[in-house]
This record gives sequence, structure tokens and C-alpha cells, in this order.
Amino acid sequence: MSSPASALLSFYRSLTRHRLFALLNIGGLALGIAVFLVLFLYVRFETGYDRSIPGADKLYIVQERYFTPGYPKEANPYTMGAFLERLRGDYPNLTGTRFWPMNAIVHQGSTVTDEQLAAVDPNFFALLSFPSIGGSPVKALASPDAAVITQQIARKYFGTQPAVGRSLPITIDGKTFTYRVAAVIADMPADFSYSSDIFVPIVRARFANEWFDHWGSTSLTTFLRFPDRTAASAFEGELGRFAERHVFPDGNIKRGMWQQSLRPLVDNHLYDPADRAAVATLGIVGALTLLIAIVNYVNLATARAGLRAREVAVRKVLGGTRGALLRQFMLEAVATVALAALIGLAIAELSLPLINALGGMTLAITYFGARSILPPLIAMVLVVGAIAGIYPAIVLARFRPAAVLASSRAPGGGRAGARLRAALVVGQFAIAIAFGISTATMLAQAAHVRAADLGFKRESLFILTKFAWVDDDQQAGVLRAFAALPGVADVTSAQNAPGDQMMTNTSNVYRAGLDESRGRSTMDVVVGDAYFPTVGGRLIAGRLFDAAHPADDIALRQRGSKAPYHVVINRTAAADLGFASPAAAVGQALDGNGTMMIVGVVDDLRFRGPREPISAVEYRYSSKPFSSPYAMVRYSGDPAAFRVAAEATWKRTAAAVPFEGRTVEENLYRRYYRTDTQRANLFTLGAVLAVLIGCIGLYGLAAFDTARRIKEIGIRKTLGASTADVLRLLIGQFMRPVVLANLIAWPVAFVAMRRWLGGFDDRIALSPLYFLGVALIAVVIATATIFAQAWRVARAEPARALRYE
Amino acid sequence: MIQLQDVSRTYASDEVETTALGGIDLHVERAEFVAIMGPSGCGKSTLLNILGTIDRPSGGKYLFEGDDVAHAPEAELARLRRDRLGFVFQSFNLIDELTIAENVALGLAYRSMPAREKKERVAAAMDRVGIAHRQRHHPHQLSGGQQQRAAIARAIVGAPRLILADEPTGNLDTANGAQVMEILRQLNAEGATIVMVTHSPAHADIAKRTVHMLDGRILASARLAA
Repeated sequence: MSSPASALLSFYRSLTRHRLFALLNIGGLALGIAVFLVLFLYVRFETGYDRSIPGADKLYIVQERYFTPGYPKEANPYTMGAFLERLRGDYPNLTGTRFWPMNAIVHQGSTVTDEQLAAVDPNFFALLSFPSIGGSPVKALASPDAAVITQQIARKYFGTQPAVGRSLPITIDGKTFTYRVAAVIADMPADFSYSSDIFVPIVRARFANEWFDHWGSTSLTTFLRFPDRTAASAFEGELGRFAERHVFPDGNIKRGMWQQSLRPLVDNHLYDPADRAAVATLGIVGALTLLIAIVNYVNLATARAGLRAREVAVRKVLGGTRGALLRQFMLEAVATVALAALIGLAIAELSLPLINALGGMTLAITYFGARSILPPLIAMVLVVGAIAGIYPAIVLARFRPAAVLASSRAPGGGRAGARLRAALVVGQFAIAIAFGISTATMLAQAAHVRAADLGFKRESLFILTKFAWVDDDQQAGVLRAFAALPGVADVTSAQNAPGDQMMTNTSNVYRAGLDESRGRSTMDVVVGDAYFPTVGGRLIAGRLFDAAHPADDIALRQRGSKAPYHVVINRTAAADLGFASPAAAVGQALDGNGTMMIVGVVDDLRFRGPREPISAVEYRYSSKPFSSPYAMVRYSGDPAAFRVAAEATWKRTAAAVPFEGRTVEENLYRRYYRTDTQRANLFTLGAVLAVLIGCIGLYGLAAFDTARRIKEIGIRKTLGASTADVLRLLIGQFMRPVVLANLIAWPVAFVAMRRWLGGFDDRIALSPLYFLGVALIAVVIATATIFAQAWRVARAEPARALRYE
Repeated sequence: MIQLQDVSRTYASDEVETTALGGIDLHVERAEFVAIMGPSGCGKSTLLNILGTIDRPSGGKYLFEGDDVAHAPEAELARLRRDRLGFVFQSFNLIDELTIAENVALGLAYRSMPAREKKERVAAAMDRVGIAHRQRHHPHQLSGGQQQRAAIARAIVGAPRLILADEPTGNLDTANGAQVMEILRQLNAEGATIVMVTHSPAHADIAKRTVHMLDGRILASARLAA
């Protein structure tokens, strides 16, 4: 009677005979496995960035860290344009390559389309290998006019015709070149950090700008190739010595304020500890949700053990050994988990499109090839089956036949079993409550980010993101055309926009007359007409720029003039520079980026994400075109209608540049909110399902426990207990674990959420209401889960209950 | 004290309807000690359950101290059981998870009175039946006789006016059975009304009146000379 076939038959019968238990058991496990699978896919996607590309493991990104007050301490994965060339001068055997994303417009007849283009060194495809569709990408970029394109671009511009050898006119940063397609590669994977659709060789004469040889500028990404991490970290010392020889003597960067180091390409995607922590957290959510489902299995299986005691006794009487019984019950557990895994896989498959849409992701389950889900799935079935099965199997196999057969009572696993079940329920609820508090906090923070005062009016503000590509002499015309649109109140151009900034200039600014070591790193932003009125910024001291004051306008400055130019600074700059109040800053002189005079102070404009601290800013006004501008339009009415009008206006006035425009909400979401929203959604999904699975377990346990106590309830009712007394007893018994779970969950959630919120500069306070609210919800959910069972038993006629065995 | 008029009880299952009691008329006076005898399945326990309001009659009238309880709401019945009834079962029906003292205290659990008074009454009830020395034990650690005495202590701790005993000696040996009967006799002598189901003619003799049942009906009611 111990063959696997017989065991499986007995398993099948126990499923069909106890349908409710089978449903709860397998349903809970399947949901847990589905959550685990989805989060597993997410974590694998996030941690697998760049790793699948041959050669990526040997590449190291040169990153730079600045040590100046007020400047972010994080390392930037960018270098000066010519850094690799300079480095090769001292280290001729060094292998490296560069990646430089460019603004590109592809011409096809009279239509213009912007495409993702990167200028790279010709050896880029020798160091990173991508499947070739036509031509040889490794050799392709030897000629300055050669381009490597992806299959998608080839299809878009050349249809089914072979693309290699065809020509493609492309405008890069305002200059038009005709490139010849030298190779076509497969579309780049979504998890490659440096993907692009068109690649052209870096040609100094074509692309080098004023910053290309400027130490301290951060234009492009430089990769160096080393055989392993030891060699790479050894070379970091060389970078320091190179800086001593060439960078510091140049004078632009001071010793001690700047350091280069190497970042493995494969570590790049989650280099920020906050990102790593977020992804790890989602992995933990997946694992804990699965754990809750496993706990359900253990609880229900041991609680039900009594019902199967007789089967165990009879099998033992017939000569079944403990080992054989253990094997049978373990096999049952693995079979249950396998069944649940299949259902869970189906749930995951069905819900993936929705989850992808929810978070703008591209997660997919693959069954064949290197990323097949099957090996991890099978491993999970075995591991989870073993974890879920071992304890119930031991409990069941331990029953003594004589005692079981002689007794009219069903053993319930004893006091230890009951205590273990109670402890497991406490654990489940602790996890669920901690999830609940975290979800509440994340949702509240997300709502805050969407609604917080950013220092400007985020609604009804439209950004023309490709304004910088418009020829300087056409820019004023574009602005005038937009200003003339009905419903448009104001129009401006500036070097920054909410969610966008192409070029960030920072200098060490200090109060005139003080030592420059007292300075703060201050961002320099050039703005056009009506900047503050258009974005809706608030003046808090002094005045805004005014065309009536010629000294406000840097475009009117005489070349070589020593007169201070007028700046408006933000509240943070006023505080950072040590002014007693914003008003005290007005009329004061600054130094460090030329001499400046403060004419006004505005409230901080949070144009970047909620995680980034607001930096000190000095605004300069120019009435003439300046570099890297965005245009912004303050409109009224329906955003969709305005977009249509905006596109038409753009096409009429700036036909050479493809139209691209977004509302501020869209732009901020795309750039700063999306990742957090994605993760918060995934977290919420996992947390809600974890709570649901916990409730399934609680329901099963309550069903079992009330059934076991029917007779006791009969006795109590006989002694005069009313229905309410019995309800209190049954529900109260499950409230104790819930209360205990709160005691465990609160400190854990408090610490975790404080750390999580710590990653935001603009954040909510961690309110005790989230804790109390979630505890209350937990109590209500737990009560609702067990109420039906308790009500039925509490209402039953005592005489019937007393007959119950 | 108790008046049953034409009380019947039928059980309906999916296929058949069985009559457990059919047209019972029974009158029990205050401070009476009534034994109910009859073969297995004659309806003795059903009758006792109806008397104890833990089962409802399908028809007829049940007056307890003048109140109609056959149709009283559940909450009122719970109060009645709590304040005026005491139960003793053949299988003791002690709760395994609780100690003897806690089981006895269960008889007062649903009444509001000062904790100190509860404690005193529990102690007195345990003394009365001679199990005070086992109060910290759990039921399965006691002999059958001791368990039944604990069950009696639980039944009397609330000073009920009516004690219902369903084969209280059925699971006990002769000596223990005699001990239990002696306790019941004393309680009756002190004024408690007792209705007891029994198979033992000897124990029925201790009661003042014996009611004989067969197939859900009362055959005869014989009053013993005191």
C-alpha cells in the first residue's frame, strides 16, 4: 500500500472528499505561487540587466564623484568627451569604448522623425556582441559615414528590402549627414542599459562641442575593458595617478573635490542603493507571500491530521512503516504544490498583461531557452513541497494505531500542534499587517507626490521638449505662434522644465567678499521671457526679471563687461548662502560664476523628482536664444485639445523638427514617478494578495477549529452561554493572534517605512493613523473571515452539538 | 414546576421523519425527584433535552414555573439555563482543555457576580462533591467517578432549581455510582428538583417517582411511597 500510485490515488480521493479543504489549500498555494512568480520575474528582470549580453561582464563604466557642498554625493556614470583618448595617451594598451546619446532626426522624403541615436567608438560592437541580421557590426563603424541600425529601424525605413548599403540622411544636433547602413542588428533587449536604435561612430570633428575637452564636464559614458574585477579595481589606482598628472594641473578641478572610479556595467542598473533595496523588497514580498501560503498548507494539513488518523492507523496495522507513511505524505505535499504551481502559473500568465500595463513593464514567462521558467518552477515545487510537507508528515506518521483506533476522539495534533498553529497564524498576520502598513504608507506618499505643492502650478502647463532643436532664429517665431493660440496665457523658454533638463551647469557660488571655500554648489539656469509667470512660481522677496532693467538681460551685456549681472535665486540658495532671510539676500552680491547681484528670491521649484533634494539655483535672464532650451506653455482647457493645437502649431512653425510635447504631469511621471509607481503597484498587489491568502488560511483554520469545538460550545450553551457569549469566545480567540501580530508588525513596518520614506526629499510624515487604521482593518477582516463559521456554531441547538463526535 | 402538555419531537432527515416523542404529558412538582426509565431509543434523552431547553419540542406546550418556554427566544432560554437549570451527563462533558476548577467555574461563567463570590461558590461546590483536592487537574487525569462528581459540582455551583441528570451513573462502576446517587439524594433532600434518566432500577428507586417510557410515550408513572 505504499506504492506512489496508491499514494497518489489516496491523495486524489482526499482532494475530492474534502473539497473545501482542497480548494482552500490549493487555491491559497496557487495564489501565493502566482504572486511569487510575478515578483520573481520582476526581480530577475531588474537584476538581469546587461548580464545577458556577451562581453558586458568585462566592461566597467568610468564614474565620477564630486565633493563640493550642495552637490549630490552620488557617483555619475559620465565623463568628459575626450577622456578615453586622453587616458589612452598614458595607457596605450587599454581597451575601452564610449557611448554618447545624441539628438537625431531621420529624414525620409519630407517627413522627419526623431530616433534614438548613439555615437559610439567603432569597437563598440566588438566589445559588446549583438546578433547580426545583415553585415558585420564589428567592422561596420570603421567609416565615419557608416551606421549600424536595428531591425526595427531597417523595417521602418526600408521595409522588406535589404537595408545594408542603403543611405539614411540624419540630422544630429542641427547638422545633417548622410549615413550608409553598414550592418543591421537584432532589436536590443529591454534590459540593456545602453540601448539605441541607430549607432554611428564618434567623429571628433563632427560632434565635439565646447565641453568635449573640458575636465569636469559629464557628456558621455566611457567604458573600460578588464578581464576581471581584480584587474579593474587595480586600475582605479591608476585613475587617481592619471588625475594627479593631467586633471588637477589643468586647474578646472581642485584636488580632493573629484574622484574617478569604476562601476561594473552589470551592476549599473541597480547601482543606487535605494533601487537595490526596492527590488530586494519586492523579492521579499514575493517570498513572504509564498511563505504565508506555505503556512496555510501546514496549518490546514496538521489541523486536518486528526481526520486522517484512522487511515494512518489502518495503514500501520497493515504493516505500513513510518518511513512509508512519511513518504506518502511528503509525496502528497509535493503533488499538492505541483498542482497549485500549475494553477499559479496559469494565474500569472493571465494576469501578466494587466500587470505589465499597470506598471509599463515587459515581463513575460518563457518556457524554453536560457530563461525558461521551468527549472526554477520545478525547483520551487520541490522546495516548497518539502517545506510544506515535512511537519504535517511527521505529525501524521507519528500517530499510534492502538490509541487512535481505541479512541472515539480525533486527535488534533495535541497542545504543541495547536500552539504551533497559533504561532503560525500570528506570523502570517504579522506579515500581512506589516504589508498593510507599508502599502498604506506607499499609497499615501504616492498621493502626496501627485498632489504636493511643487512651488509651481503643475496643471495646464505644456512642455515642448524638442524646442532646443529648433534653429535659434526660428525660436522666437515658435514662441509667438504659441502665445497667439486661444486660451494660452503665457509662454516661456528655459534651460529646465519640470522633469527635463539637458544640461546642468553648477558652479561653486559664494557671497562676494567671502572666501570661495564658503561657497555652495549652485545650479545655473538661463530663462527666457515670462518664465516665473508661465510656470507659476512664487516671488518671496525682491522682484522678478523685468525688461525695463537692462542689467537683468545677459543678452544685452557688453562682451568683457565687469558689471555684475542680475540673478534671481531660489529659497534654498538664499538659505545655503547664509542669508538671514530671503529679503536679506536681495541687493547682495555673489561671486563664483562671474559677479552677480541678487534682485529677487523665488520659492523652490521642484522640477525634479521627490527623491532628489532641491538644489540651490541661480536664474539668469536672456532675451535672446540660449543653449539647450525647453519651451513651456501655460494653457487653459482640455489637455487633449491643446495637444492637437500644439502639434499643428509646431508643424506650421518648426517643420524641420519632429513634434514632441507633454503635459507636466506626463513628463514628471515618465521621468521621476514611474519607477516608484511601478514598484508601489507591485508591492500593493503582492500585499493585498498576501492578506487574501492569509485570510484563506484563517478561514480554513476557523472552519476546522469551530468544527472541533462544536461539542464544547454545546456544553457552554447548556450551562447558559448565550449566542453572543459564544460568538465572543470564538471570535475573541482569533483576535489574540491578531493583536499579537500587530505588536510584531508595528516596529518592523515602522523601521522599514522610515527607511523607505528616507529615500524621499519631499515626503509625508509616518502617521500613527496608518498603523491604527491597518490594525483596525485587520481586526475587521479577521472577524469577517471567521464570523460565518462562528455564527453557525453559536446558533446551533445545544442538544445536537452534544451528540456531535 | 414543570408542565408538559402533548409535547412531541420529530426529526426530519432527507428521507424519513422519525418520531422521538409523541404526545408527552408530564407534571413535575417542586422538590420532586423523578427517574425516567425505558429501553434505549425510547426518547428518554430527548425528553430530558427538551426539559433542559437545549432542544425544542416540535409540538405541544412546555411551561417552566408558569412560563411558556417552548417558543421563548433563544436568549431567554440561555438565561433560563444559566440561572435555573443544572445538567449532569452520562459522558460528563467536561472540557479537556480546562482544569477541574475551571470546568466548575464554567457554571458561573455567564453570570455577573463579583469574582470573589464566584471563587467561593466554586470552592464550596467542589467541597460538596469531594473533589477540591483535584481542582488543578485536567479531566483526563481523573477517574470516571471523580469526573462525574466534578460535573455535578459544575451543575450545582449556580444553585439551580432544577437538576437534569442523563444517566449520571451510566459510565461508572457500582461504588462510584452509589456515591453519585448519594449526592443527588442529598441535593434533593435540600430542596432541589431533580429529573434523572437511568437504566438502573436500584438508582430509580432512590427517586420518589419513576416514569416509564417506550417508543416516545409515557407508559406509566409510579409514585413510590416515601
